[in-house]
Amino acid sequence: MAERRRLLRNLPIREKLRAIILIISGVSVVGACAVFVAYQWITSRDDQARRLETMANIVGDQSTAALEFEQEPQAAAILASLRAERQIVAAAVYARDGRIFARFLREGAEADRVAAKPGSEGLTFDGGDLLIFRPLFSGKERIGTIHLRADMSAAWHRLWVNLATVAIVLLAAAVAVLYLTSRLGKIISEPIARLSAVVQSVSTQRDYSIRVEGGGLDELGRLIDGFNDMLLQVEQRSGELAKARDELELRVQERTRDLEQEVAERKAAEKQLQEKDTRLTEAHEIAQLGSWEWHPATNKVTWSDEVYRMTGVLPNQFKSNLPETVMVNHPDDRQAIQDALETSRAKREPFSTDTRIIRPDGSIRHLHVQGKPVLDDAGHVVRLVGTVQDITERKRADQAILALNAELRSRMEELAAVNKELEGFSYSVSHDLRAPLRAIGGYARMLIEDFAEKVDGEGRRYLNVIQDNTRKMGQLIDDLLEFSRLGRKALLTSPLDFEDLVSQVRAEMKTAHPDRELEWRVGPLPPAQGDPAMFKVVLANLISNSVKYSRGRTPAVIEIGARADANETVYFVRDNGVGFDMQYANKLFGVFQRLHPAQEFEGTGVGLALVQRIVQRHGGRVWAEGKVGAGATVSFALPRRAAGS
Amino acid sequence: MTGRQGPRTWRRLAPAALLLALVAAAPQEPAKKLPEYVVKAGFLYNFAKYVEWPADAFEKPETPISIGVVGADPFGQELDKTLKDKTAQDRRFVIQRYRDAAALQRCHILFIPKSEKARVPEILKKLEEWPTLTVGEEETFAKAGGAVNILIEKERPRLEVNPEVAEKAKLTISAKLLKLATIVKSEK
Repeated sequence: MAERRRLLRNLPIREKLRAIILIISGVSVVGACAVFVAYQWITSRDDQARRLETMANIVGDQSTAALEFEQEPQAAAILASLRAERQIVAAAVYARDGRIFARFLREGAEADRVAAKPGSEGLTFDGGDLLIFRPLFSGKERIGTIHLRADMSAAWHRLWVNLATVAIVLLAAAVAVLYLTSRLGKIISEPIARLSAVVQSVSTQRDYSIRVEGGGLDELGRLIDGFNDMLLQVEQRSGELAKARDELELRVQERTRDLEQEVAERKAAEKQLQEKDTRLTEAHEIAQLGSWEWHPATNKVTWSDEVYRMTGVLPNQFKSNLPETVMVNHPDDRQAIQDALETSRAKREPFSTDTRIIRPDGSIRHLHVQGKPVLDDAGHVVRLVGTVQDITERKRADQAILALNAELRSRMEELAAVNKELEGFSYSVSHDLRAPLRAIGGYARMLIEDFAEKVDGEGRRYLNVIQDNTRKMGQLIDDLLEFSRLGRKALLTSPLDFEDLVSQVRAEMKTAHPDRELEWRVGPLPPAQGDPAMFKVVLANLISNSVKYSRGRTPAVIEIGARADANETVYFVRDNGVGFDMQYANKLFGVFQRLHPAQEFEGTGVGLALVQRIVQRHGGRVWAEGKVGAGATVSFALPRRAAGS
Repeated sequence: MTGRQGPRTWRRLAPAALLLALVAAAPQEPAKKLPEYVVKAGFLYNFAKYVEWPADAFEKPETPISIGVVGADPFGQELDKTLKDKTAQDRRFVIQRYRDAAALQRCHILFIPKSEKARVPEILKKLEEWPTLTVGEEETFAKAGGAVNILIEKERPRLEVNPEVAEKAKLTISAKLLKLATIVKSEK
């Protein structure tokens, strides 16, 4: 069936049309004829049956009396009257006991057409014949049966004639349809065939310039016009399309380039983000910074991994609610942390507090907890978020520092006491040394003065050495006393005029060394604040050193200057003397520390120590720069604030 | 017609035809020879169906049809057997037996046997005023003024009807019966 349908589908339209018309006309003709024939057959059969019944009634009624009175000839005569009815072949009347009472048989019919015994009541078909058996009644009493047999061949004949007519009509109609479709079908199928041919060539050759030749004004014509129009549009469109495709390709290339760039940028950004994230996680880990969240509505608490690490609580053992969270804390701190959270929520303010927790292993840790409420648009607190930081180590360090500070303070007090004692001791020692020294020196002088002729030349030279050394030792003790006094002496603070101080010292130098050729280069010296006597000592020491170590230079150049910056003012004294090796620079300022032997350059080794002491007491600092054989520069700096105040 | 049915029909009908042949071979006519008075008793019953009596012939709707036999009764028990539980025109039957003409009474059908041949005129005379269907069995009965005569010829029953007499007795005899019978007129 499906095969057949496919076959029909693949037929050309012309054949299809023909088949459709054939089928429709065939079905309608056959149907109409079938209905007509069936109707005729049924009506003629019913008609026959009714007629046979009527005949049986009439003949039966007529033959009742003959049967009752056993008048066979009369009965036979009555039955013989049926000869006029051509379709009746045989008839019979049966008596009460079923025997044939009278009968009629048409000439030429066989004897067996008459049933030997009455059959079942009513109408029956026997081959081409219609049979009827009807009971005969006299009053209510059944007295016999009447039987008629009708030949239906006439009806059959009519039926066959009708069927033959139908067949002929059908054949004629089919021929007519075939002829008409072959003629009229062209009207439809030809334009379609033309259209189809063009469609085929368009689809195989892709030539959109072909056109289908004119159609009429019917649907097909419009179809052809529409198709032509479509071809025209396709032709135009394909041109536009090619152009658009080229443009598109160009744009795709551009876009691809853009995209590639974008992708690269995005990848870079992603990498950066990842790095940042990693760094943040690392930072969190390093900082031991955990984060938490509390939803008051559900009482649910969320911890970050770091918090679990800090508290030592296993994630699967934490019930993620506030009471559990509070319980983690030290019993003494539970109320405080609970209050901090509740207050922050109620007042919508951030909070920050320290608390202690007890880890499952019993160890106590100090945590710094910070938090702030997160509000919705309506200003209600949705949740609290915050951080936790393990500050146990910091707390320990703080405590250690405090302990260290306390120790340091006591040590310093101790040191100060020792220092004071030491100064007192050194003063008293220096002071006490002076008396025996003066005695040695006095007695040495008396020997020279009073016993000069009793002592030979050698002896006198010895006495002079003793006297020299006692004078040196006296000087040494004086310096030492001066130095130790400086540690105890209160500072007198007044404006310092360095230029005046320098000119005083210059005058003294000129007097002390009248034979020396000295070249002075003194720059402008800004004033400062301090003890003028002490700074006179400072300048006298520095300048006398320069004069001393530049001995042998002609001329000896001594430069005194200053420079100021935001914090301090630096003063310096420079010479073109013997200089020193910078690796001993820090030794210069020690007491009794000397770089040159006393035979070469006289001195006690206290001067620079004294300078440093004074400058330091004024909040400043001292340093020296130099080079062997290329002169030295000693500078001291005073804080400007101290100088100004 | 039979030709179109062809031998197939024949084959189908062969056993039936054989049976038919056997039946036909048996003594067919008359299949059962009925005794004469059984037939005549049946005829008396049948007459009641084909004859209409005047309205005044019955006193009441349920009045039975009375069938009389005058003189020596030739039926024996046959008439009683035939009419037992039978009805005609919605009426039952009663049988009256009369010794002689003098004993006659009103009845609807009166059978006059051959034995009463000599007294037929007397009997008919007696019945003149009554609507009685007279039934005889003697050659001249109808011509002598009997209404219906049953004759047996060549062992076959034959009927004679004298419509004149019936009319006089105010009886209406059915056309069907008249068709079967030989019409006879009275001879004087």
